[in-house]
Amino acid sequence: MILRNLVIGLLSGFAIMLLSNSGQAAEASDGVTVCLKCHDRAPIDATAIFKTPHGVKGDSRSPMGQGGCTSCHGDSQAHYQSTPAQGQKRVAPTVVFKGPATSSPEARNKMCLECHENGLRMDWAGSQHESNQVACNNCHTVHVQKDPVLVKSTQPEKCYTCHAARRADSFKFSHHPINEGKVVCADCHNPHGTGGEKLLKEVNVNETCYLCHAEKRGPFLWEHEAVRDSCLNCHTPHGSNEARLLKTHLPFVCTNCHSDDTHKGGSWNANMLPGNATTLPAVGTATGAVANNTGAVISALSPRLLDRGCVNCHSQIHGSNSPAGNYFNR
Amino acid sequence: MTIRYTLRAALLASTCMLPLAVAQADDFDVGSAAPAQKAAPSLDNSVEAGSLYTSKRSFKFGQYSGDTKNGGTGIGDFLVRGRDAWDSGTTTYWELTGDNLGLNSRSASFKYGEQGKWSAKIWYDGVPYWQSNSFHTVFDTTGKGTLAGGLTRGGTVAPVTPLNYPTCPAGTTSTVSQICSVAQATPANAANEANWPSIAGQLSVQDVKTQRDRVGGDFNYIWGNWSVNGNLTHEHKEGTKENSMVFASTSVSYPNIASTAVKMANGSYNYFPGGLTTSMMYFPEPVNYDNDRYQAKAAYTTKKLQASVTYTFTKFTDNNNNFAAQDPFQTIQWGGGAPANSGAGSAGALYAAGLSGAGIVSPLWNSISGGAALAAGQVAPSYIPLTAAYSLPPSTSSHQVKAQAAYNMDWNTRVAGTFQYGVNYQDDAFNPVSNTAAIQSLPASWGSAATLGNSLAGIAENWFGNLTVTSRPMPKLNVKAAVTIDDRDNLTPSRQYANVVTDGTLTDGGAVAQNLPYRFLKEKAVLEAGYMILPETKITVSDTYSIKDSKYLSVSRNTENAATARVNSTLLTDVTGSLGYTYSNRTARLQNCTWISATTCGYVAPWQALSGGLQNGHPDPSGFVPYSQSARNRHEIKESIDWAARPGLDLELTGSVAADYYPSNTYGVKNSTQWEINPNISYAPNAKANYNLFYSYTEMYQGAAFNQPGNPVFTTKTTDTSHTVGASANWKPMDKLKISAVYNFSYGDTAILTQDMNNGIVLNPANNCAATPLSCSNNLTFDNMTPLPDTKNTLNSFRLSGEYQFNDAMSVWTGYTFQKLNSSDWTYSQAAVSPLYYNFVLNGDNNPSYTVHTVGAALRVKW
Repeated sequence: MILRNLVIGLLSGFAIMLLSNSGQAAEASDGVTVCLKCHDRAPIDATAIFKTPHGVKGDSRSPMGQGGCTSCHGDSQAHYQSTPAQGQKRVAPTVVFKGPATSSPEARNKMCLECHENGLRMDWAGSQHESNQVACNNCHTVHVQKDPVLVKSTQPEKCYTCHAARRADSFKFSHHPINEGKVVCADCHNPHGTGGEKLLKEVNVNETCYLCHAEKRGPFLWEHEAVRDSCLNCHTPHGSNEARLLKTHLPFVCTNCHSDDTHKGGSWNANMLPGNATTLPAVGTATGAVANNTGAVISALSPRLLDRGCVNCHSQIHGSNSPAGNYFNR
Repeated sequence: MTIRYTLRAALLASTCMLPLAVAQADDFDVGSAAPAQKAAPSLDNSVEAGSLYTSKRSFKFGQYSGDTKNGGTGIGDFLVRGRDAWDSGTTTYWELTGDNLGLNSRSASFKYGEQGKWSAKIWYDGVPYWQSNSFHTVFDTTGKGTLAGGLTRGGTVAPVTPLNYPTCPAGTTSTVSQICSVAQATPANAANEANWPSIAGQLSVQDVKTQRDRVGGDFNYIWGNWSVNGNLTHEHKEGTKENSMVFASTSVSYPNIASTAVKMANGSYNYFPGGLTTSMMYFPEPVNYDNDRYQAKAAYTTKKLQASVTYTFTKFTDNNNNFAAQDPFQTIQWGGGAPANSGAGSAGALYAAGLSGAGIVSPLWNSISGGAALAAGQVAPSYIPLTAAYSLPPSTSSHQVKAQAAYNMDWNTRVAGTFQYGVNYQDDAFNPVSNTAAIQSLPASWGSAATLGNSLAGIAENWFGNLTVTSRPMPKLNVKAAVTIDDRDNLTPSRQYANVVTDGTLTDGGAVAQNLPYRFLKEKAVLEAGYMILPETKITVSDTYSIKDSKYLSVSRNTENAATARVNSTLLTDVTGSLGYTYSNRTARLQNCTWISATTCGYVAPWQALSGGLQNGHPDPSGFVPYSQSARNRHEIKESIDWAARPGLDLELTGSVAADYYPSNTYGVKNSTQWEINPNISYAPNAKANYNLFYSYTEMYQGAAFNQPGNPVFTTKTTDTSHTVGASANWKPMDKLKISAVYNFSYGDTAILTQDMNNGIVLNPANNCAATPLSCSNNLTFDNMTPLPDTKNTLNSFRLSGEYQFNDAMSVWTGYTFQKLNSSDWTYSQAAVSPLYYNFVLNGDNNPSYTVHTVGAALRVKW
């Protein structure tokens, strides 16, 4: 009898336990309630999600409008049903986005792409970042009111995490106004992947540059082949020691292609600068003298070393629409 | 009794089981507090107002912010937003922002919408750009090319005209394009030189800047799987930018400076190129652009299929079609007939051969036959117009249609494609070839080139297509195949134009020039495979084959094959890294070549018959191909390693090196390298503090060889290096106080090494330069030249700021910034006018170095 009662009691208790669990299961089914029993406070406070588009229950496309937390973190039954011993950690959720048990990039990205495979992410598969095992949350932070990578003032820092040289570029003498908060990486790049080159927003370099520099678009009557081929033939857009984001100092940025020209580019030297030319020694004296054979000291200045170098005269170097502009002078 | 025992047993047993059930629940509910499911609507609004004091005026410091003046500036920012409670069932949200309200870089936006249904946004963004605040010019600030007050043609600056080019003093002789050849202290007219200081004092010193004002609107509507988007942007850009132009033309204009060989102390002849053969001046180019962009997009999205179609129309309008600058060098415009210029000419001097040769009848000088001697009092044929006809960027428009689609197939395969077609139009009215009446009406002998037409009727088509297939046939294997076509085809009519240069002359022996509408057709195929050889290690190999077909370029086709191998791995616990190597080989197929001489290839042979001449009259020498088109071998290594050494401490090192070799290049760039090395340390010992320290080294090197026809070969090596160090700290010494300190140091150096200058090479020893140094320009030696000095820029920047939180609703922010730029570049700080270069007026820009302190404070209110 006692044994029977004991069995009944155990079964009853087990039933109570099941009922208790079934309640949890019911709570878990909305993917929120159970999770918030722990994750509404530090150290893992997830409640900021409710201040974001992901947390809007009324939007059926939002995680909270679907399966709640489990929309992104997976079913995670083992996580919320496990009973770790004292001092032990609970079994990790199905998909973990950071920390020691972080899921693979593929697993994390899969959750995001469930909803975000359209628009700018259409070419994510096979993109440079995907191929290098970058996960969405390497750049994006979901559990904050405003994702820093979507804010102009904070986006570059996120990109610099991997692209550190671009941060150095932003301090160079000429640079796009990134540190000044007027241009961000995403103004030119689509980091989610593109069919074109260098993850650019437009299909190629020039089309991207024309977004802001429309006056360079043309077509012009006289086109400069290097310009039409790629702006990068002369410019390095992330930052340069030179003015105007040039790859190197004028006039050498020109002469590296126009080395056949009759403008004597290769022999340019310090004697052609004003400071030196004005102190030319007399005939027959030391190095640096510039004199004709009659003994007259003359100037050896080259305007191609001053100010904008070759562009002083060929000032329509991006293209000219003047019938008299075939040398890009007009 | 039985029942009682039974119930008791059951109760006891169930009580025994209860802790197990409760234990499970307790694991979720450690604090036994009910979860906060009812989060309050967001109340994260703030308004910030204050002021900023800037210690010194510097255009460079505030180049993009607009904070270019010393004194006070307002600080103003706000962020006001609202969103329905997350579980309210409604989805309305809105946001109003404003930033940098006290500066010209201010921006503001407002958006409103119902999430999942629709949204609308309007915005404004101001982008200033300061180019200089020390721009010297002979022109006034009207942007109309009129001379600044005090400078007038005909001479108000006694005793001679303003910027009148020098003539040789009495007793000296001048040959066109050459120097006064009799011994004299200076080549310039002493009286003229004396005028320069007074001229300099009358130059207009201007701020050169532009302001972009951009406004835009955006609307989205979602309907089931469909969404539509409309987007429009209007930008107005206005101001001035530095520009320069040249009057007259090469070889035939003013007395020159050292455009030929000169005898050195050691007896050799030194060639100083730089022969200034033209008159050049800087002017403030008026900028008045409108740029409109309209975009409409429809998208369809399901789990399987994502697709979109976008139409974009952009219209760029330059509200100034041309710029007509008065010529400051001119004394009297010659109105025809016998030249009546005021310069003291050189009897017996000859016109440059090219001017009147080849049977070309110059409309300007047709009264003087080629090779005729100048009459006393005549000046070489360097007549220059009253005003220059300088074209400004033409207005253009563009239509573009883009279609994108991607489909998730079974067996883990996805196909994505993009197709885009765009067409650019440009039909802005032509400028006249010159504002000089005599040139505007070209003689009939120029044939069709004399009839310019009114506009270009320019049209360029842009085609783009990409198809990418990605698949994961096995869990550990992913593969990708992609093809891309990118075509820019300029369909603008190609025709002949009279070769009128710089409003002054018909050059190149009167050759006509033909516009060459370039085409670039780029095709690329990529195959890539990645395999997880270990759970945390992936190896990726890829091959990219690309073809570039070009029209009207020296190279008709480039082909390039690039093979890459890369490994991404979590090497150890907390250590991740990648290492990749790429080798690429590019070939170049030259256009059909017509050898003009033993060393010169007229590479445009296929269409030369059509044009009757080269576009720019500069055929390439043998062995020369621009490095962007020439054959190339490239080795490239990239690496990254990241070690999470301990909780909060992260050490990272990224780097890359790329080395290019151009084996076929006799001239031009022959090799180049690029380096990047970037160590970084981040440390966050606790939630109240984080620190960062980084260093970056970048280097870009190019080695080039020069060929000046008939002259020795030089090599020039340019090396741009930069060292950047940064340190930052953010900490909260107390709950109410946040402090931030950031220091950045950047040092940039450009080294230019021109070599082979001391070899004393004499190419044409047969010529006796010792006897006739001014006529032996091909008889050159290079000796005793000092390399150009390095250009250097050093930036020190330190920022300290703190925010004290009085309570949840109010805080005060204060900050201090120190920034110091040292720029050492021979480009800057040249006097705008100087006897040293009396026939060009530079911009006279001051060195942009600065030292600026700012101090600011602002009150922030939150609700």
